Amino acid sequence: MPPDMEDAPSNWLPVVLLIIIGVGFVVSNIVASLIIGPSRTGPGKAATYESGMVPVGDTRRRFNVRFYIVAMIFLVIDVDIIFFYPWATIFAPVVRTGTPQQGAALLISLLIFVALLLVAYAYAWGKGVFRWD
Amino acid sequence: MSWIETHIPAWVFIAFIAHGAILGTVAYLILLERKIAAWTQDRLGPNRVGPFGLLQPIADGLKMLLKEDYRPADADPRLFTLAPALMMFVMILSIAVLPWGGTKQTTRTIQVAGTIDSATAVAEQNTPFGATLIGTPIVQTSGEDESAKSTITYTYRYAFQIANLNIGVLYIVAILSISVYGVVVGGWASNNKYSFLGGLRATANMISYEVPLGLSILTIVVMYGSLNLATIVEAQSHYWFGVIPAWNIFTQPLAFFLFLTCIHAEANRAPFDIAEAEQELVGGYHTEYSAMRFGLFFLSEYAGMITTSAVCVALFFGGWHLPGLGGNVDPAHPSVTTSLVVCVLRALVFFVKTLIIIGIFMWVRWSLPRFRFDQIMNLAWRAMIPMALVMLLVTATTLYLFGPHDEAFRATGLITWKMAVALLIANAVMLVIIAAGAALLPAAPPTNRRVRVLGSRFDQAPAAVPATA
Repeated sequence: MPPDMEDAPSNWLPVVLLIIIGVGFVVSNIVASLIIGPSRTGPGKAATYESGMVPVGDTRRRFNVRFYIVAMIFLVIDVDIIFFYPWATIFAPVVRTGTPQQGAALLISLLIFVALLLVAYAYAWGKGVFRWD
Repeated sequence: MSWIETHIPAWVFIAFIAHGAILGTVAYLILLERKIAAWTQDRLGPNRVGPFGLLQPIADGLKMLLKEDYRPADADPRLFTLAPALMMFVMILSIAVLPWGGTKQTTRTIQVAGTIDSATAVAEQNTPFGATLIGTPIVQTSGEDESAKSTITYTYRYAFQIANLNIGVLYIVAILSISVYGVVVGGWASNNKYSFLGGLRATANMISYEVPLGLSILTIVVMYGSLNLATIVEAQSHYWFGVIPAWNIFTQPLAFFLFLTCIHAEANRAPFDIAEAEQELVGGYHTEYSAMRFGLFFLSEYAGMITTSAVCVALFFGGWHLPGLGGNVDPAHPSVTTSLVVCVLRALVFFVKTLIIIGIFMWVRWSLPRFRFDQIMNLAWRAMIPMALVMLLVTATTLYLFGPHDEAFRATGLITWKMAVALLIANAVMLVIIAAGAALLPAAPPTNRRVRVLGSRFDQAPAAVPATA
């Protein structure tokens, strides 16, 4: 396995540098464009674009509920996947160095977790959550 | 030793070079995309600005700056600017953990006047910031009390990448999922119906494909027990039977295809481009954007392609590893090299592999028609999520069955050829089961039936109730 680089908080300093680069790049680009570009306005130009027609009504209105259901089912399943990550980081080392019983315990805990996830998945399927037609 | 080497860590240079290189590549990827589109459609493509249109990206960039950055009166002023800024910011941040060139090792010799108590302390003082001292420094003292001189030889290593985080893959997934906000905020703040619908569709598309994306990454993570991309790449840089590189494309082909599909969907590109379906939604979530704010959306799409393709290369194609490119000095740690040239060459290998994956992106975009919304959703929720979940189970079970009996795996943690063959067979069996299972599933209801629109002239409702006299 690779050399153990020390796991220090200073490892995150490059990310701070990238945050500075990122903010600098984004802000300078937008400001430069605002300064250099022309600026002319008028009632027709300020109107919302609707293929050249006079805009009909407002956009702030209710929309199809199926997007809300997608967001909910995403939350349910994605949070479960986050729980897989710590499990995945210890499984291979335990299989390598631990006893067979420890490996079996980890595998069975995964199976129970996936079974619970599948119950939720089957319930959602039965309820018609995955019907978009 | 020069002042720069001890006081400015290597990652500062790597960060600026990688940032500049990726932005430059993005500009030329747009030209490449237009050339590929033209070639697919039997046209010439951009060829007026400079030879072969090579100066076109510069002209495009200047135009972005010189055009008017207009905001419609009804748009939310702050969110309208925040959305493209957030998209680009996230893409710049996401390149942090890409393992460009393995580990650089340097051995130095310094002379200190007088005898010294702790060679390690002196060596640590002269080690560049961010590098790790390896082993014990060797001290040689010469001369007598007054003219004594100590020669210290010490070795240090640093990762040839921007940030060596132990949660690398998780960091990239987390950062890239923020880009969903850029799309939905941009669509909402424009206060335009096209933008709003595009933003909604893009959100549904992107969050749906994040689930199989995370699961297909997990199938790789579980094999090595590490989230560090550098570790995952190094574990792929050995050979089976002395010739076949131990890349994950050979052990997890199914996970690779799931991952490739997911990064297409995450990039909102054809065939998953319902977010900006030109024929229906004008420009999708960036309909109202112009000048540099539009440019940032555009750049971030291509920058995101580079990052996700690079992650794909690191997970499935061995990252910087290229058979025949030597330079490693430590047999136990193939990533360690003493030569800066090898590090740069490895970064180039990594980059060329990334460009090949991006070539697949462009090939797919100009070959396949757009999916319908329900087809995209069905593919994610009914097909890819169960497949990825089962692949995770199969990988874990294979590791459990073969790992404890494999002496080489127990000693090093590397995937041996026996386990690779087992994983490949498991993949093939999975594919057969999926093909057989898909035929057994009840057929989906016909999706192209006519939808009743009450009150319209296409309404198939029974005749209206006779009006009471």
